[in-house]
Amino acid sequence: MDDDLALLQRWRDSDAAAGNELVRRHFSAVYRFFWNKVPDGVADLTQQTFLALVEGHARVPDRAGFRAYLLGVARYKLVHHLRARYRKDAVFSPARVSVLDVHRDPGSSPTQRLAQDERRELLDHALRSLPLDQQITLELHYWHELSVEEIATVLERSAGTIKSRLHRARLQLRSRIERLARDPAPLLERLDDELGSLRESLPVEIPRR
Amino acid sequence: MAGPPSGATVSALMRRDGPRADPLEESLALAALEAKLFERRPTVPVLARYVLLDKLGQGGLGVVFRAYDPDLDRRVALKLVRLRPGVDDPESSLLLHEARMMARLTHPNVVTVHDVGSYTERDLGQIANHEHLGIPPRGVFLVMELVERGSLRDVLRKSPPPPRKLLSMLLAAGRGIAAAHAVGIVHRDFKPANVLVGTDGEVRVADFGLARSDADPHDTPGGGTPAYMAPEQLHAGMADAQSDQYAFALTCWVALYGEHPFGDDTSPARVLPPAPRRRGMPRGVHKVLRRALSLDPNRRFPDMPAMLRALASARADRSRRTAFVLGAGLVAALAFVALRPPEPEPVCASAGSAIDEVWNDAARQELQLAFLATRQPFAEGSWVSVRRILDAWAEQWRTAARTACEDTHVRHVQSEALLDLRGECLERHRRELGAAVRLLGRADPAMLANAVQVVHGLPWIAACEDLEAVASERRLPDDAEQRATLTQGTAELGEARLLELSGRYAEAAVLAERAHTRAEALDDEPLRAAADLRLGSIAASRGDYGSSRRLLLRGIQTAEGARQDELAADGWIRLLWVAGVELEDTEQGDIWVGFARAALRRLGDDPLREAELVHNLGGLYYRRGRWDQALEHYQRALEVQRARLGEAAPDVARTLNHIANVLLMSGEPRRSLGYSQRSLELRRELLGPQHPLVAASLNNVASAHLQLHAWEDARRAIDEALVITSGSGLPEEAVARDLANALVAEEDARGR
Repeated sequence: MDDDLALLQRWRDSDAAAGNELVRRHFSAVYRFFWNKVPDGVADLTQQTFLALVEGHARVPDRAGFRAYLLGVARYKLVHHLRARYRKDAVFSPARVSVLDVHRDPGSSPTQRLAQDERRELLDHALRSLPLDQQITLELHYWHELSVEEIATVLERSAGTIKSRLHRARLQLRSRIERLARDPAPLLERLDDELGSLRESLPVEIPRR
Repeated sequence: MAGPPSGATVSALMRRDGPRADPLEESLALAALEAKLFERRPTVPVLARYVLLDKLGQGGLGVVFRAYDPDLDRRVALKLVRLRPGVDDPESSLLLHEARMMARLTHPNVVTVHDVGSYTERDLGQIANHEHLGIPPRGVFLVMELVERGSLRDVLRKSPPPPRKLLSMLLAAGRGIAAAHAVGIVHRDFKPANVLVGTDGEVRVADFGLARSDADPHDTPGGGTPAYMAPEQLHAGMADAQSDQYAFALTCWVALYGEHPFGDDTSPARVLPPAPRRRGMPRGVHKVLRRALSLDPNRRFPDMPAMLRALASARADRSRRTAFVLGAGLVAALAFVALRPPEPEPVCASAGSAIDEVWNDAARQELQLAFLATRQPFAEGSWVSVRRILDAWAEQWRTAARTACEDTHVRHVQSEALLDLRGECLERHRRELGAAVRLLGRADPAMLANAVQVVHGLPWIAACEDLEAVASERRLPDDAEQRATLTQGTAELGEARLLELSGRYAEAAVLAERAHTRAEALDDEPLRAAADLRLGSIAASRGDYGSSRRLLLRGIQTAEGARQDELAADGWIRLLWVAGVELEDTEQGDIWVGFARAALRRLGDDPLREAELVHNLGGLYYRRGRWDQALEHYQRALEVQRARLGEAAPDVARTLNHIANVLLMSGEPRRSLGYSQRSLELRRELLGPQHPLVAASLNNVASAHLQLHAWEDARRAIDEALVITSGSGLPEEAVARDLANALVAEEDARGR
């Protein structure tokens, strides 16, 4: 991981090749971190995250390594993004509010969503219905394979807090999945919406924007 | 549906999958990022000569990209249409034939087709991941004008215009269809999504003939969109001018009445419901639509022009009354014009019109669009303020230029040489306006937040009227090329200053660097001094105080040598803060205080710069731990700044925050909180919510809350400061992270 920090330093000293190497190493992780949390703007948020890195020039506070720091930056960009889109009459808190509370339908285009199987659909929906920080905790643990210490860095919490949160998040996820499997109505309704918009957009969308 | 998971399977479930993403969108995003950060040519791909930029849409027929035409240096829409497997040679397809005909048609209401051609897999060699991109392996491509806005469908969804306006748009679209019919082209798939509405309000019909039978429309029968197809097209696959008329009428119905008359019913004998009531709808319109929607093609209008005539005269029924009212208004306006006395045509009448080249209706419109395109909730409000300020500024400039002209040619109180100098000064200011407008035109959400700050940062025009100050600046070089270089360098510094104000330090540094290079090439000392001082200032803003000190010293030396008194004074004042307060070398700070005082004496009466010096002296006391004196100096500076600048000024906000600092150290968190919260409020308003300095105020708010044991409030402020600064490496980020660590330690101690 030290290697990453060296690359960052060289990048900040105008070594573009080092920057490019660093971006290639971590692009996917950051991109995928955002992907199931916002309906659009994934590329933009990813770009913002890397830009924030190079715009600054001072040291990276490296309590638990580069990747955790990077994903921590990504989390703040995400929180900011979601906060701006949340109801104006309520306070957005990543500890309480879920991605689904902000966007009814986060995720990517209908065609890709449709291609997914039901089991995956169920898991994704359940994850997105968790409070944002719980979702992030689970994904960092299982998908990004970060240590508890690293997750603590990303979320700016103590390791002890993370351990208990991980436990709670697992229980929550289980109960969400069970509830969804018993009563899949919200999920089906959403799929139905997607079919509707898909039907409307046939045969081909026109250049616009 | 999958069964509910048993206890242990949650982990297994999570482990089985990974984070998802569309691989192609991901690779495009990476290419875009690399292009932006490393100026690497994106590996995204060329077809014929067109460079694919990004994907605009995908559907059954193929895919549309935004593309770039390097030969004609313009952006275009590139549509790649799939051919049905049975069609062997794209070159001989009817689709290509018809597309070529379209390319020959020019009509204001038809999307222009610039170029067409066919391609096979061989031609896609340069496009590495073409199958991921959804590009059909063989097909026809169309290069069309890029209409940057939405379709009629979007317009109807977002904010449907009143019926009369809608009718005008529909009539325009109808004329587009009629023009194509006149050269034998049938649309086959007319619907709201195919009517593009440009930023100019122009209406253009797109995608003629693409739903041809040799194109491969996947699962849609007969090529078109069922919901808008005529019965004969829907059930017998017959598409001609009459079925276009039907689709057009159906589109009119949906647009005007806000609902589809048949819903999901596609049966051959579906019945047209009575027209829904709608306010302001001319009554005859419904009759026209009813006829055009006849199930039997022969009972429709004989052709599109006939239908359009009927529709236009139905609209006129009502518009005649409106025209009468309009006419009365017109008469009143003419009367007003006639009553105005004729304007004399003085020598200096057109002096000042140069400002119109920079700030005019086109620029206004462009900026407004750029602002709105950020989709920020405050975009509109921000645009209104920016426009008001820029309008006022441009007017001031115009008056100043006219006054300068009249002083020479009318009042004869100044020489032509002095006029030239005033002119140069005004010209510099005009360029600053240009720079500000360009900067704002690149509006992204972060920029937008600072927009008002940027326009407030425009130079004070009256400065050009201060003849003494203007005359003290030396003349520009005679050599035209050198003159141009100097002008450019000055403009770059102006833009760098605006960028620094708005918190975009990296971009500011690039421009100041560039100005410095020009100054070196010209061996122009004043420009070099100004560039060094700007670079020093930016370095301090970024928290690189060592470099800042070095650059400031270098700039001051040059400024002193070239007798640039104001530059020198600003340099000394800043240097004593950077060295004495930020780098904590108070003894060195004391030395620079003496030089700053001397430079100020040379300038004469200058209360604001004096207040700045007093403020910085407060900083030196702060560093020495002498809270009382620090507080007293800050308060004195604040008084002057408030009196001179008003409450809403960035300097006032900064001094307030520094007072909060002192009070934190002297153990008065509650009092401190009052100052930091006021500072926060001002900075949010003046600098925008994303400015790094907002985080500086937040940090002080958080510190006060920590001292008061208000953990949740502290958490919220820290969180917000980190949202702004995270990853920036700015001093504000470091402070926020220290505070976050303190809070974590606190949590641990309390066993949370």
